[in-house]
Amino acid sequence: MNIRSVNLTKIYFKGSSHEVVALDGANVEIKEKDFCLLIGPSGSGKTTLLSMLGLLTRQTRGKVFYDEQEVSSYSDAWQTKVRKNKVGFIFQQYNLLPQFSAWENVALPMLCSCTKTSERRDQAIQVMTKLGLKHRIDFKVASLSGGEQQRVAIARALITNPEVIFADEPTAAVDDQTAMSIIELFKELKNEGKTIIVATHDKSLLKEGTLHINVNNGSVQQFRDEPF
Amino acid sequence: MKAAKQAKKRSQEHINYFEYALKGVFTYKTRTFAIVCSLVIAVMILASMTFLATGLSSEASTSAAFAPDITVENTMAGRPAAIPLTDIQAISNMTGVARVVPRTWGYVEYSGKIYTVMGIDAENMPIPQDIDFIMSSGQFLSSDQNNSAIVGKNIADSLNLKLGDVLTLETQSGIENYSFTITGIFSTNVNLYTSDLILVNINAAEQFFSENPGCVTDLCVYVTNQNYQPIIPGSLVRENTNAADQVAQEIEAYNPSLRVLTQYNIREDSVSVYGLRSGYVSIAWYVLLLSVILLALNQATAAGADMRKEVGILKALGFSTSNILEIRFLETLILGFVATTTGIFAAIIYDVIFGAPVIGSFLLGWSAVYPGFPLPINVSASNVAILYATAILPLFIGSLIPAWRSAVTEPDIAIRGN
Amino acid sequence: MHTKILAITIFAMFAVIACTVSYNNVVWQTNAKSAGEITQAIGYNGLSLSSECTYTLNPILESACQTDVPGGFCYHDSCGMVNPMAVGTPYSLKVTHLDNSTLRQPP
Repeated sequence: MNIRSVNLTKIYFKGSSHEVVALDGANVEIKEKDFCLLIGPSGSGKTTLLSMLGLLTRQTRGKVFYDEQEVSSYSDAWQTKVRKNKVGFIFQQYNLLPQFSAWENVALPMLCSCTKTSERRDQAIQVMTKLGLKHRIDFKVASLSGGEQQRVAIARALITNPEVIFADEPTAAVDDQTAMSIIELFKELKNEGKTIIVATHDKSLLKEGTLHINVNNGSVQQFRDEPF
Repeated sequence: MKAAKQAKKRSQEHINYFEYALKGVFTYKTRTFAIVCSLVIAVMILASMTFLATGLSSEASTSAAFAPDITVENTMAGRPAAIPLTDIQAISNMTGVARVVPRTWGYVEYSGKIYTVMGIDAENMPIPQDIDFIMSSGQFLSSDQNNSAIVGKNIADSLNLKLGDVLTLETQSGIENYSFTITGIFSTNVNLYTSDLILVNINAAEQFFSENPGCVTDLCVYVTNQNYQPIIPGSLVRENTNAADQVAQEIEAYNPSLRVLTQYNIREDSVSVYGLRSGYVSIAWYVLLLSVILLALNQATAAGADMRKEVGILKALGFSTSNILEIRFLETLILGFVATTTGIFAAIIYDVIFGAPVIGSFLLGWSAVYPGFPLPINVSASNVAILYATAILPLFIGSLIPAWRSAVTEPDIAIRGN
Repeated sequence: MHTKILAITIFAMFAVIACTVSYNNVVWQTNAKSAGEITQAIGYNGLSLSSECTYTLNPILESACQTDVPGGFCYHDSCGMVNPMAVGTPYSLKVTHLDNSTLRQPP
């Protein structure tokens, strides 16, 4: 899926004395199967750009296109449908639900479909096995390590087989070994034809990207690289 | 076939939400505990009061439905007074009057207990054919039995009376005494009406209450109707109600000091008495319910930060606003159903097994003059349905606004906790 | 596990409520017949409660006094009293059983 933004702007607390321009006039063009990296220091607007491209928050100005459909003007209900069918999101803080076990968190996106519990469990186990979590299926979130929680979050994003995966600092809170395995996973997903958009300031990811978008103080510069 | 498959699929989605909601109920334990406890207490109070009050109201209303068309009493300077026999003749001659049957009754006090002694004209009262249905032993009174008495089951038990025993009432001075042979004992089915009753022939009663010879206490007036059909509560008004009203007006015109009560008056009066009594507790319950709504609102708002974040995550994962609202409402439904069921169950135990100790005293009055007997409890389907509805609806109202606010928040804002 | 126990408990309570409602319907049908028979036989008779005089519930707030019916104990001048004892001459009871044994109840 191709993702494009035109003049994307986000202003928090607009009109007040604490007004913050998180992003100003961002024009990006992400092609299908791109491994796109949003790079920039903390507070630069990476997460804001990621959220707007992933339809988690509405822009103040500008437009977002998915395959030339202006999804940014869709209603809340339609945007939710798009997220459900096309997007997988990996949050920086994992954002797993503590009342559920690992497999239940992974299968959460399937809850709002008409899938039985047994089918959801089977599918969750399948994805978790691929990510090396077979031994943690019924564990509660609180008893998982940071790396395991991150992999559960990744499995949750992958279970619906989305076209686009958005990841916000996926390697920030994990050790180097886990970070390497996550990077390898992203490479595999890229080879499978998925579009991956990662907000990061992890330099070890840089060489993997086919598209670099530098975000600095709300401004955006896009650099398309040759694939490695 | 395809439609059935689709329906089955859609129902699976709702089952999934139900399972999610059930987990949610156990997640926010403090909120759940607070709401459930408050609601259980509120429902239990209302339910036990409702069952008892409805029972009393139903009993009074049912018996009033079979009362005479008109009951006539006499007053003198506002005080109850006896009715002279001459009035009986005058009323009997009025248009529309089928028959007039006198009663003589009053009270005897003995050892702190008050008993009703009632004399009836067994020949002229419309005694049903199967009257023995309400007798546990012996027979109902007949007109030729002048010194016979039928007593309520409670009197029989407390005085150890059996058929053939002689009950003698003696004045303190010992000068007057009246003896009655027990020829019948009422069954427990009619305990509510006969618990304190000693029923005798009207002639015997006139001798017993000999202060006003040639007078009776009240009159049962039956208006002209070929088929005696009492008004059944809730049914259409009987066709000769106008006839009863007309006769009542005629009696009042004949003697303004007579107190004329139609069957309708008695029924409305008895129902309103129990309604009034239950009204005080209903007011207390409304206050409790309001507290529950406020508690639900407060708890939903207090748990808002965690709940909002959860909603944000769900929306990011593809849950729509309607899905989230459905989950929230299912949570409320589960809480409400559990709490209401527990409250109603506790109320049934409280009323039926323990006899509604505090609420019963409030509803029935505090003068304890009778031996105890099971109170009439009416646990009807309509009562239970109304209790469920009125307990769960306030919860919905209380949780509606916080649920809506969190459901329409943007996922990113909700997750960040702004 | 806890959920299952809770679910079973709740549904057991609901079952008790449902059974009580069903039993209640049967009992009240009998009650209606009994109430009808006794009232038809002896005329309107107040419920055998300790007092139907509403003053005995709350002397301050109650303002109505139910009509003087048998069992009502409602005397216009005694409605304000909690214990309506003004019934006239006190009696003592003597019971003579069929086997001629006498049981005099102490006053």
